Amino acid sequence: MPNLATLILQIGVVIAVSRLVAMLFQKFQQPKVMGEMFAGIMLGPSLLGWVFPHLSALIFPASSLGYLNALSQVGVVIYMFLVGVALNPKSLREHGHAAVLTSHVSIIVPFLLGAALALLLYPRFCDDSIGFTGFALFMGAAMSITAFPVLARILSDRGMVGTKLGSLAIACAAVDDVTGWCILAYIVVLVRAGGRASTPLWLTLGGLVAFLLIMVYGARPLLRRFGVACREQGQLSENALALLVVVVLASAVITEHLGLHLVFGAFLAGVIMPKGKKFVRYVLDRFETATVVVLLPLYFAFTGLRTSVRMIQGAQMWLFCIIIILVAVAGKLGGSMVAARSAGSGWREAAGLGILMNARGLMELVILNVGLDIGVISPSLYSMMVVMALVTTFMTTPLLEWAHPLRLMRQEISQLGNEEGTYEAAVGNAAP
Amino acid sequence: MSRKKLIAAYLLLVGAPLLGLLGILRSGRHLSAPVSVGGTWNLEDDVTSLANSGCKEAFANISQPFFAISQSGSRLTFTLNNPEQTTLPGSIRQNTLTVGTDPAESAHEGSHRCGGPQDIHLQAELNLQGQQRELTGTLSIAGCPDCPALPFRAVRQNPLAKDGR
Repeated sequence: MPNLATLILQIGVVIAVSRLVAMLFQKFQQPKVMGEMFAGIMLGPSLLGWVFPHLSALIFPASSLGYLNALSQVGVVIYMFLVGVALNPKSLREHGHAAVLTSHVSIIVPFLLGAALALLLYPRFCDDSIGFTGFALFMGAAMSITAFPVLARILSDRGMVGTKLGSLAIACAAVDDVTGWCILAYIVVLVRAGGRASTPLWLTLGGLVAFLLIMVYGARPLLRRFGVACREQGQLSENALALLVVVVLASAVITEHLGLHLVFGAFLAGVIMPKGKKFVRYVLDRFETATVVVLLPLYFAFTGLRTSVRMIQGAQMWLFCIIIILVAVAGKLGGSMVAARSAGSGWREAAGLGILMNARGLMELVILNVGLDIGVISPSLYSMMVVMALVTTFMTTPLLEWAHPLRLMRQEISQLGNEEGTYEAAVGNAAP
Repeated sequence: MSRKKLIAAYLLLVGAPLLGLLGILRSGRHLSAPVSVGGTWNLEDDVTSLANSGCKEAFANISQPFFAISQSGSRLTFTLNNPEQTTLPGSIRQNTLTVGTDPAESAHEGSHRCGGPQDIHLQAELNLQGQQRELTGTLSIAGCPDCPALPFRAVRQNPLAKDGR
């Protein structure tokens, strides 16, 4: 029987601390998700458990973490659904070949550097239960991911959504996200097929193909009715909303049972939803607040409870941590910048794109948690990668201000006219 | 950007890294990582017999699964399944696992007080034969002359509990 008082205490503490730290970070022009991520780390063994071990054991006793984890997983399932809903396929098609080149390079270069780094890390931080291929692909995927919602939020805060750089960044991040999740799905199948799978490989692959076909050709046409209802009546009935939630949860459960992970099903359910502005805004309005204010901080806290910066012991491990950060920045920021430059952008614009693409945020934490769950990364490597996610997300706003000062952006925006209120701006407003 | 230039840029910036990736995956196949010992382990012997040994304080209140190992390469964090969840650092070299303070080193420090679970020392060999991984070795208490090294055998139950949860 769960100790409900402990769980409620945990929820209260997590929400209060995340809000306070997020407000503090916002004072330093950081997106609030950065503060929430940092608050999660503070509540774990890296700070609270280290400085006040008894208080930490009182608020987060080991026996109670299963319930906190369950709630946080529900949060991330809904969040991934919202990310899928917010993904606009039009933004992938509108930017021509140059954007395709830029987005593909912004994936493959960090992926290559991540895999190369795996040569160094595999003998030191892995064990023989994971093959090199699975580990290297995972490191590549973890290095190449971009936090689409954080990026949208930063663009929205700076009024950059309608600019050339803003729309290019949104398109590239969308391509990166879809590609990243597909690669991660493949890695999960590969790793689980390597001996630990409870589901046979043929069932995973066959089931996945069948499930994708059912979702795209069976469920999507039916779901269009939601979009039509929303457009005509301005809202969905409670029954329709409940059905929508059931579709998301069923999709998540099916992918989990197929041997993948809950997040893939939730993301897929979001991707196949209608993409009309009214529908997207309506769904985001209904689900975002509770998810972002209550459930996601729990996910950050659970991530923080699994992360111990103290696991990064000694100068050698900190050196590896610094190398990981440098490789992550060189691959994503450098790769995207070179790609944008070769596709015809100016240096300032190319640097801006690289800086934006380098923000990893929550997406990185989701990937890392999947990696830790399936055993592809070890706890100390997980902690180093979480530090990398924090650093790369933290550096985005100050670097962007340096490369793309607001005064220059305002000039460009005034030339373009006011394009606030676009689809992407709506996406970026509430999601972390 | 002309079509020709685009294709050339695509080949250079996407094709070449893809080839590089294939090369890395190929060359990495020869790398080896330390043997896996992460997960939860059950003691095959009767746990209560340990609590009745000369080292009551150290082995009291530990229940099955007796310990969990969190592994990062050759570095280990060993967590006893007692109410305090006592953690000890350890390492693995080839198939030899060592956890806690070396009793010999502790004796040199002149400590003669028999300590609690934080003074447990484990030295074991990993047996990779058979379906389950087994550890065979000794448990002792560092710096305690009254506690003889106790032989033990442990079997891994759950290899996925890498983070010790």
